Amino acid sequence: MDQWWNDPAELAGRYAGEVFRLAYARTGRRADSEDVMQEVFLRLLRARPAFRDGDHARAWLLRVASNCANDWFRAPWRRREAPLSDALPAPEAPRPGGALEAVLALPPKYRIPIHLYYYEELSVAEIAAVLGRSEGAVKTQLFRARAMLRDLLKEDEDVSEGL
Amino acid sequence: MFQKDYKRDLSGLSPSPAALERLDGLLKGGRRQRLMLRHPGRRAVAAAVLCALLALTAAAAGPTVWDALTAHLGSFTAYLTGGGANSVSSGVELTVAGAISDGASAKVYLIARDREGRLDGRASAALDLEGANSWGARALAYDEESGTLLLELEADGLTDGGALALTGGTLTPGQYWATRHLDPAGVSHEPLECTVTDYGRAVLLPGQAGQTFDGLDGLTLICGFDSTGTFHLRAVLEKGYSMTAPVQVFAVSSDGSACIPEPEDRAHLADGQDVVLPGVSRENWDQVTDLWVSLSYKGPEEPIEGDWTLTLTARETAGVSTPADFSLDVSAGTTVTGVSLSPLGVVVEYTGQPGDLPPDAVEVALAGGSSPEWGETSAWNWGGEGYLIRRFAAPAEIEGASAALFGQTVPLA
Repeated sequence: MDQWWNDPAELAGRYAGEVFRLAYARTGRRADSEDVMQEVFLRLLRARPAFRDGDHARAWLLRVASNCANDWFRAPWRRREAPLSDALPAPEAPRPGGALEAVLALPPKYRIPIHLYYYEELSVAEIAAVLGRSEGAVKTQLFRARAMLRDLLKEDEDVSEGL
Repeated sequence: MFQKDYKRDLSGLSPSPAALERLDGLLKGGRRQRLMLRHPGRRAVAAAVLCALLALTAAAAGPTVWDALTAHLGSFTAYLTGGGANSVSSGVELTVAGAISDGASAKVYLIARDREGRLDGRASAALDLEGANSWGARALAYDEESGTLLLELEADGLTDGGALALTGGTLTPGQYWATRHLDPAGVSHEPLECTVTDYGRAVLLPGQAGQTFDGLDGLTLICGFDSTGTFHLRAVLEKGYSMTAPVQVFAVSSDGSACIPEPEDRAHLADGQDVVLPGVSRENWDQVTDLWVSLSYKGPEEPIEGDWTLTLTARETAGVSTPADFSLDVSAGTTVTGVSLSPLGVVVEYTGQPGDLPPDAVEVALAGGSSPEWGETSAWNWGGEGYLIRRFAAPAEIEGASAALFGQTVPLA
């Protein structure tokens, strides 16, 4: 297909992993991340936006993934799960002392901007466009998140280098 | 280096083959369903109009938002502080009615007014929040006559002395969150009609006898067994509605155990979801004593995106707390570092694991030894630092009150 960016199956083949990893960075749970991935592509099928090119499609998918992951996190049964924790399967633990573990220890609102910056390597302007926020708000969030990550990783300078 | 380390950690994570198979099936099936749904019948259109009319009638009968706020807060209204900030964007005026804070968490009350009538009593709001972590805002009341919506925003992890800044934002009308009890005895043992998805999963067909619920527009739930005896719960949404979270089903057995679905038990469909419960079938259905379903979905209304800016200070309700150097080991690796008691409830700050501090680990005795009536409990733990908050059902007089952790009284001043 010439315009592969308008073929949902092609988009899933290229970007399902990215959508899954963004969701994981937000939720920290494989099961939730797989559900978010399904929901994102379901929304793609429903909306069928006409993308200009591959970058446009990728930005749309990342934005919807961010919204879906936030929705998942806000679902009422997620909010008070501490008393239910014994009944729920334990989430897979990321590598102890690693960067991912530190990102998952951040307050939720900082995780997606950090993920988009360090994993997807988007610029501040691109993150602002994906998240529908001002560049100033994104810069502030990145600044605060980096400070928290430095604090979380202060005992391992090799990992915190570059923050 | 952080970036290299982060990429390495994440590159080892990918969706499971089963999830990718489900996604593939969804994409193949979705194409067909899209074609089938292109021309809704006259009956479906008439039903949608009727639903809209019923929704308008219900909303028009609502109380004014100020009445609703004082009714919602009851005697807690006296602790509302920090109101007044105001911002207009995308035709919607947002005003801070006030906030109630125990120093660790806050509930912020916002009033949204839209003269174009795009809001409804189911709207939620998501705004960037500085100074705390936000759980988003939900509607408490809507006055259709004035187009005014009352929202409650929950925030925890307050920093900066309760100074909060809300910016950006999206108001999303037509959000449905519900938990419903279903009667296991009402589930027919007759096999229901199924179809098989492209990835080989049997799902219940829509259009069969199902259950609808007051206040849950656009939704039908079909419960029953397929021809092999496997139990299914099928959520069917009308056109324009979409799920915003996985359908959660909890089946409780007579021995007290609960069965909940795993991701692979859930099929995402263009018009809803189909969930099976592993191990639950027609053969052992008589052991199921309770059946609960939780749903989160949205209607066809368009979200309103804006650029609001609101600042406020959620002032901590005065109370008593442990000394700054207080520390109490409650288990190996979990230490309580502070306890605060206010007319709103008790806040426990700790480091360690959330499972080591269940809600009833902290108790309060009021003057004279009576116990307060408890309201909601809230708990969170980010990276090993956590809070447990038990709120009173009504404001309590804390003069002469005491708090105890695992039966051990803590010093409060």
